[in-house]
Amino acid sequence: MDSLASLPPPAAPLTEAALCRWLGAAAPGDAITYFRGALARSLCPQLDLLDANQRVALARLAQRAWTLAEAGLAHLVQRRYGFEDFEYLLIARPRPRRAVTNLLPRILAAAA
Amino acid sequence: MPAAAHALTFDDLDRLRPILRREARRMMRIARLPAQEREDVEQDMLLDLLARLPGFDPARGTLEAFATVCFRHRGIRLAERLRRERQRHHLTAFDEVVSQDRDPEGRLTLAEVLPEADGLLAWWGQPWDAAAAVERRLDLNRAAAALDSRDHPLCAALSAASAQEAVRAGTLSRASFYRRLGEMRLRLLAAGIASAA
Repeated sequence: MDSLASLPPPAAPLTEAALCRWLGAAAPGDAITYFRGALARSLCPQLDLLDANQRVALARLAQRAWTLAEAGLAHLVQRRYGFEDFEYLLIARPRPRRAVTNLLPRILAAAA
Repeated sequence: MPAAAHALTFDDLDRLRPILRREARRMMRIARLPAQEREDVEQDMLLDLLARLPGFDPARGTLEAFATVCFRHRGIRLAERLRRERQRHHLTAFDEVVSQDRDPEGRLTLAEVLPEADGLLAWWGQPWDAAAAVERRLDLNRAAAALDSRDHPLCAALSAASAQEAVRAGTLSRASFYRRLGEMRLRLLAAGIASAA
């Protein structure tokens, strides 16, 4: 039997900031798994599958992934492995060349 | 050399008046002068003609042709002088629109098209790097595009004051302010501008 020292350290759970940082550095087509399991079940407080802090963190992460997809920065994809076993993927999209024109002068005008 | 100096009579002046008016109008159109300047321009041209009249030789051409050339040359010199004066006292604003794009969002202002080499830093002898300035401008535009329009006043406030001062001076509650700040950081991270976040 392996000793505790020989086991790989558990991966730190993905956070909102880590997800955004990854997307900022990702090339189009790069994918990251932000959750594995059944997201809706895990977020349900009545089922109590996760403790409150973990549930809130997961809800924030899922909401952030949704926001990024709505902003056109990423695709959201699920891959099914079995019953209530899904891999939730976020795939980076090509960035628009220039999403909004001439915003900077307006910010500077507001600062003046 | 002309045989004798030619003196202008009233009849000559009557004949020259339409030419004078035509050339003055031409010069004013070129120099984009207002209509009230016409009399001054005409006087200036006429004075120039009087000064050059000793050089007029009736054997080489008519008085009208001579006057036309004199008026036209004087007009060109006047327009050039005016152009130089305008350059010296350039009464324009940085927010003056210089590109006539139909879309108001796509219009460029003078501040946006002014090269860094003509900026105040270069003018005052401060060091400036054109490539770095362009990169900074692109980064700022990218960051501005990544942010929500609701956050623009917040950015403006933070550019002039610290977060605590902005909270005190602003209309947002402390919790809302820091929530918006966190949201801005995440948006900048997602846009690939980790250094700004």
